[in-house]
Amino acid sequence: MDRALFAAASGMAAQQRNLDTIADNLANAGVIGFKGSAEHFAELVAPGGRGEGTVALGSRVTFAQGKLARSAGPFDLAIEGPGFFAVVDAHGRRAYTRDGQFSRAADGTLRNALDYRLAGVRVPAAALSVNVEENGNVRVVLPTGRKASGALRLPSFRLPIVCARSMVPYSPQRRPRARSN
Amino acid sequence: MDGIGWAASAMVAARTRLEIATENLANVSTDAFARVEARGFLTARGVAIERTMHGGGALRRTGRDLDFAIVGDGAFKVRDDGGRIGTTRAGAFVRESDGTLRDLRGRAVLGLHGALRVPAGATPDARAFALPAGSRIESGFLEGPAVDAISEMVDVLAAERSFESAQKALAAIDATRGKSADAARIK
Repeated sequence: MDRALFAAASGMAAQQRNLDTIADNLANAGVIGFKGSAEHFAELVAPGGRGEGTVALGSRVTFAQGKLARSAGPFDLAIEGPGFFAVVDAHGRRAYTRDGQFSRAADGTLRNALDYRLAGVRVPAAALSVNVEENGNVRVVLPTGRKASGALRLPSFRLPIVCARSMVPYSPQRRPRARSN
Repeated sequence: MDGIGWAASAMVAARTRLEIATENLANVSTDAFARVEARGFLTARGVAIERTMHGGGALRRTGRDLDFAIVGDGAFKVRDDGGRIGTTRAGAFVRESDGTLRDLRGRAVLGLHGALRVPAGATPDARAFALPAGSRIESGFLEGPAVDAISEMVDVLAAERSFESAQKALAAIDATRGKSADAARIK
């Protein structure tokens, strides 16, 4: 009877992890650019090939396209398709985000709420808004007309996976965290 | 074999059924899990349980280009860091920077000639995975588990009842024997 108990317990433990992941997704449901995670499971098999229950392998970020929402910010950007905004903090460290809520700082850079600046773009003080073309060129909309102002490169990565379980013999190379702020 | 032996074998069989149903229930979220079916049959030594596997879960759309579901027979061949070869039908893969595909347990996915390497942006097809002829691959899908939680719960209850009735039969046989022993003593 122990085996049945263990299998049932393993299923409960795995579903508990699933609940944690779902709760995290729900908690971030209102976060702009947030990518939810999905838990993955594998069968536990004894050396003889007999099943012993299940194990949660860890959650993996699902990079499905979110809906674009029209916003009032003149410097708000959104990415349709793969890629991230490359942003730089005060110490020059790079980070990547899908959250495109930027505003113009005094020095002409576009900065997000955490004061990271969008790499490669500077806009003059008179700018009304920015337009990004298909090829990544940024055009600033001035009261007098449009003006080119740098290029926006959207780096793209293969989906990083998050494996937290010590029993999973996988150590992904350090990759930029692809979560939105 | 006597009645006690039969009842005991029925109890063992009921326990095995319960174990199998729990195992299936535990894997109700495991991708590509093949349901284990418990089939009871009579032998000269009581009731025996045979396990048969039933795969073929429904495909689930993920939209991720490195998620693969096999339509038809066959499985992906994988090799762990210790060199052991295994198979899996759970096709949720990740691509390393050198192009190697790995499954979520970190095992390298094998193609026709050793570890499969996929250039960035490319999607391998059924031939690359060395699947048997007639099998297809669907990118952007995963094979779901072939388990239905409700019917497994019913199996758990049925196994419990089966265990109980065998136990009652055992108690009845025991009581009869006890009575006949008493009768023998009185004489």
